This record gives sequence, structure tokens and C-alpha cells, in this order.
Amino acid sequence: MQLPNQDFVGSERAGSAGVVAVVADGHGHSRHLRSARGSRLAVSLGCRAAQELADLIEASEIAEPAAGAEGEDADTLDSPAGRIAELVNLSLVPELVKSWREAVITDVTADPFTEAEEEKRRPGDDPVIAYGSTMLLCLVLGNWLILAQIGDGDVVCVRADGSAELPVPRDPQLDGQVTTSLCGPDPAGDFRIAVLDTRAIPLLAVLLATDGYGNAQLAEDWPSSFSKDLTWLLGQRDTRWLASQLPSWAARCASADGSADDTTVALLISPAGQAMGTQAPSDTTAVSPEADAEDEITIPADAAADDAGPGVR
Amino acid sequence: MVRAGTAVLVGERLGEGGQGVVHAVTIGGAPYAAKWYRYAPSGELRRSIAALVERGRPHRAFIWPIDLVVSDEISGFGYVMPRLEPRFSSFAQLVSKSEQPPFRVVISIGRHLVTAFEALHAAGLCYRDISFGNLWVDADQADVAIIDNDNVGLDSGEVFVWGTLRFMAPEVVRREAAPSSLTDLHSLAVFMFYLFMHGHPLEGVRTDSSYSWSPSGHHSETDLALRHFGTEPVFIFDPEDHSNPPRPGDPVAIWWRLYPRFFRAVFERAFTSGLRDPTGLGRVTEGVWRRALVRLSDCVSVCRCNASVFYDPDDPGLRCWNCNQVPPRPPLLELPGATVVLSEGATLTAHHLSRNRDYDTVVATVEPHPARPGEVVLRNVSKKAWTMTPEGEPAKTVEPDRRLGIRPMSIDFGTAQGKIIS
Repeated sequence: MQLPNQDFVGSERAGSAGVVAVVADGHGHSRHLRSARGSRLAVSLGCRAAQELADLIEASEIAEPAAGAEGEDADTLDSPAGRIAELVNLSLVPELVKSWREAVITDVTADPFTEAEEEKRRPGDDPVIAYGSTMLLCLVLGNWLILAQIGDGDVVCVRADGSAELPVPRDPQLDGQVTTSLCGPDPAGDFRIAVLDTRAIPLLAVLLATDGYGNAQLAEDWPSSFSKDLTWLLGQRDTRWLASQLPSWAARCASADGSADDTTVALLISPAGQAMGTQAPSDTTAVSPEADAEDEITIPADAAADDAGPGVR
Repeated sequence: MVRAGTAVLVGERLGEGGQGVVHAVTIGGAPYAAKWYRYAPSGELRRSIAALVERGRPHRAFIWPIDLVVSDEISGFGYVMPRLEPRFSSFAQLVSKSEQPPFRVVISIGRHLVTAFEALHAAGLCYRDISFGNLWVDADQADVAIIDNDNVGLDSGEVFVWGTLRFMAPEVVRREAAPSSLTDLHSLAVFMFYLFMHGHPLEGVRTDSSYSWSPSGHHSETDLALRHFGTEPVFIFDPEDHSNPPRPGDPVAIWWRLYPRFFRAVFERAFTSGLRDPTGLGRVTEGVWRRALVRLSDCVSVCRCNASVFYDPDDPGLRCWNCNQVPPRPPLLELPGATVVLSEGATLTAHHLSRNRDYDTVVATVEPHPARPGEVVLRNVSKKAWTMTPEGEPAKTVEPDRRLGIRPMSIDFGTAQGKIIS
């Protein structure tokens, strides 16, 4: 029996000239019977938390190098990247975890589990388990790319040379069978964070994808193939075309030919990516586009026309 | 119980005073307290307490008589009232602690007390015996409880209790007037002085020097009290009469200096014109106290040395009591009719935005910055989104429960516009 799609995706402006995109994958197991709502809450609250984070960063000098700090190690806590990461850990993650849980409890209080739903729950289950979801969040703020992820799914950054960058640390708990989740016992501890300075690592694009996308790929190292293909496509097509194709890529992955799993993606293209004009490599393994998109995409509808300023788009 | 007709089960003795004894009682299994008059009370007292029962408590702070009680076995009467919760301790215990509660807690206690007495007086009643023993506080929740309300009576009614000497208005000490709501205002001012300055407003060098064991110089305690609290009271910080300054080493002098000028001015009025002119024009009314306390709460700040201090934009030279330096100007939120110091723990309540008397509905809180020690953020805890426009940045929405980094900006709260200066 085909279940309704439990994924959700959204993007909003953040900070003065930034953008946030969030993808969330509601768990498919019957125990997580309201995961579609959980993923929807994760996306809206993720956007809100990222907007707050953007404001906190812009309000302070966290993102600026300290005086006399030329040449400092980019990974230390005292570096701008380190300070941003610290703020993500101390602010965005706890606020997100707290607000998601509160929103779930509010939803359950307003709409208690039905008898049929109670039968699917396990005795003693915390109500939030029914709403379980992963989350992949990408905040672009000036030259900074800030990533936060809980659970499975993939964040693939496409470098200017067409190679792939996978900045979010791997989680050894993810074995392909189970995933960490917002409904887990330690969601704050299960988040993984990455902060990139795009001046040091210029990017063409960032892909956020639920696990259905990666699971549908033939190649183990599909991020590399994807990055090469996308780099070529960026040189051949504009973002409007990409936006029109993305749903079909996702649909293909979700189909029986792919992973047969809900697949939701968000693709952010940088100004450099939009200005591409390079040749694509010959060994392309791009997924061919097909019709019947079912999943939402997150290239903001007005992205190409948006003149808000620099940053990955 | 006389009105309810319910039986009262008497338990352990909780305390006793000059008038009667107080026992724990249960009514239908629920805990209450009952006061029984030790000696045969007058019929007028019984009628007075019955009237209080009928009237009902004017404010939740009052531990008010619920019903009269009589016994088939003993003559006389008493009354039942709610049991004072264990979270409350006496005011004397509060001021004698070595570590005082935070300024905001003390200010809240003062404000709740003022509000309670304002409600009492608005009901045409007067308390008559404000003193340490009758006022209890919960410092953790900044709450107050007022006991011994059998002293309460009509403003012009028969007097059963004249008060406690140190808190009595001068005209009552002189027996020229009976306790009333106007004399309550003097007692309230004395209490507020104890609360904020930790001393008595009229006990200074002159009162001390009048005590003497020499035969020619010796006066009775009663004579001295009549003089210092009744016929010749002089405020220890009287701006014009310096004959009765604080005793050397009295901490009241240190406390006095740390408050902004506008707050000290209220005490100056209470103990200068308020001493001489017992009418409403001379005494400080509850409304004046309330506005001063609300403004004081908006001034709570932190010095560079981490001491809790006050910052008043109209009194920027106020020195820190701890390091004696002038603290740096903190970030301020300017609103119509108020300027709020954005220090950790500060709150905006509905009155800041709507100019009403709702000082309890919190709409914004100032919290520590999650990653920058010493800095703060402002959280929207209202149900409405704000629009903030930081200097040099476009306008942004601050949804409920979201925080914003404090820097120069204008904020549209919906019902009011504010401006942050930092």
C-alpha cells in the first residue's frame, strides 16, 4: 500500500540577504503515524530558527575575524567558523529541538490520537515519536554556508572544479536501517554541524536530499558523479530549466526504478553557478529527467530574478 | 463555622500573639488556620470581623477571614482563614539575610505590597498595623502575604489596634489622629524604606544621642519614641535638615547611594512633607510608589565589575556601589513613556507597550547571548510578531518565541514603537 509522502521542504529569506532551505523526511514506519506533520513542523521551525541564527550572527561580529588573527586556524573555536559553529550548537540546535517538541505537544493536545492511531503506537511511547522526522538545514549568509543535519539524507556541495564536498560529518549510528531523529532520546546530541567559508571553498551549488535520492543512485560515490553532472548542466542550462527538471529527478528516484522511497530535494545555486559556462566532463552518469514530479523543490521561484546580493543561491 | 455551619477540626498550635492564639484546622479535610481570641473580645470586634468576612478580601495577598467560628465548649469566638503557605517567610528574615534577593525581586515585592494596599484603601478600608510581623514574603516568587487582618477596619471606624510604634504615623504617635488609610501611607513608606534601605528612616545620630543613663539626661523610652516618631521626627536623609544623619557605619547610607535620584526623591517626600502634612497631598500615595517602582525596575543593570546596579538615563553619573566606577551605558530600549535597560533578566510587560496597568503579562525577555558571555538577546514571548529594522539593514520579522540580537534598531511591537540604543 502506498503511503502519503511524509517529506517536506521549504525555503525562506534569512538575515539581510541570506536564504535558508530545509528538507525533512518523516519516518515511514507505522509507529510514526504523524510523521508527515512532524516533517512539516521541522521545516517551518527550522526556517524560523535559522532566521533567528542569521540575525544573531549579523548582530554581532561573530562572523568577522578577530583583530590580529590573520592566518588563524579556521577550525579553532576562536575562528569565525568556530564561533558560528558554537552559536549553532548553543542556539539553533537547542531552540530547534525545544520548539519542535513544543509544537508537537501542542498539536497532540489540540488533536489527540484517535483510537486507530493509538493502536499503532507502542505502549509508553512519547507522543513525539509519532511525529518523528529527520532534518537537513542549509543557511546561506554572506560568505558562510551553515549546515545542520539530524538523521539520514545527504548534503552535497558542488565545488567550483566540479568535485563534491561532503562537509557534514558522518554519523556512525546511521547504518541504513535506522536513523537518528528529532523524536529520538537525544536529538540535540545527534545533530551534526558544518560551517564553510565559501571564500576559501568556492561552491557552485548545494544539494539537500532525503535518503531516497541517494538510495536510488547506482554508484556508491554518487555525490561525485552528481557534482560533475551538475557542473556540466550549469554550463548548459539556466536555473529555470534546472528548477523544472528537479521534480522529475526526484520522482524518478522515488519510483520503483529508484529507491521506491519518498524523495525530496532542495538545490541551491550560487551566483558563480549561475554564471557558469564550462564544458561538462564526458563520463556523465546523470539521472535522466522524467515527468510526473510529486515532490516539492526548493529553488525559490524567484531565485534567478533575486538581486539580494552575494551568497550561494 | 457561623455562616457555613460546617464543623472545624482543630489541630496543632501555629502561633500566638497579644490578642489570640492561632491553630491549624481542617475543614472538610482541607487545611486552614483559625485564630481564637484569648480574652473576651468586644462585641464590636466580632461585628467588625463579620463585616470583613462579608466583604471578602480586597486583594489576593491578604490572608483574609473566611468565617467566624464559635465553640459549644468555650466562650468567645474566633475566625478561620487560609493557611499561610510554607513558602512564605517573615519580612524580618528577608532583610536580615546576608545575601539579599536580586533587585528585581525586591522591587516586585514592593510593587505587590503597594498594589495590595491600594486595593485595600480603594475598598474604604485601612490596615492600621503594618509592621514586620504582619508582612510575609516569598523571595523566590517575589510574592507577599499580609496576615493579621483582624486589624483591618473602615477608614473611619472604631479602633481596636493603634499600630506598631516604629511604623506609626507621627499624628498617631501623638494621639492626634486615629489610624486611617492616610496613616497607613506613612507606615507603608516606613516599610518600603526598610525594604530598600535596610534601616529606619527616622533613626539616626540624633535619636541615638538622645539615649542617656545620666539622671538629668535620661528620658523614658515612651518619651523618646514620642519625640523621635511623633513630635520631632527628622528624616535621616532630609535634604535641608541635617541634624539627624545616619549613624556612622550604618549600611543604610550605602544602600541610599545606590538608587537613582528619582527613587530617593520619593522617600524624601514621604519623610519631609509626608511627616508634616498628613493629608493626601503630603503623603506618598500608592500610585506614586507604583510608578517609581516600575521605573526602578526598568533601571536594573550590571556594572563592568558584575555588580548589580541601576542605570537611569536621567542620572547617568550614578556610581557602582561595588567598584565606585560609573558603569558603562548599557543598551537601552526607548518606548513611549519609558526607557528600559536591556540587561539580563529584564522583561517588557504589557504596560510597556499599551500604557495600561498590566505589569504581569510578559511580552519580551532579555536573555544571555547563547555564545557571547556578557551580551544579551531579546526574546519575543508575546503572541504577536514584531518588525525590527536594524540600522543599515532591511526590516525583518521577529516571530513569537524568537530572539533578536541587540543592536541599534527600531522595533514595531504593534501597539508601540521602540528604539534600541546601544
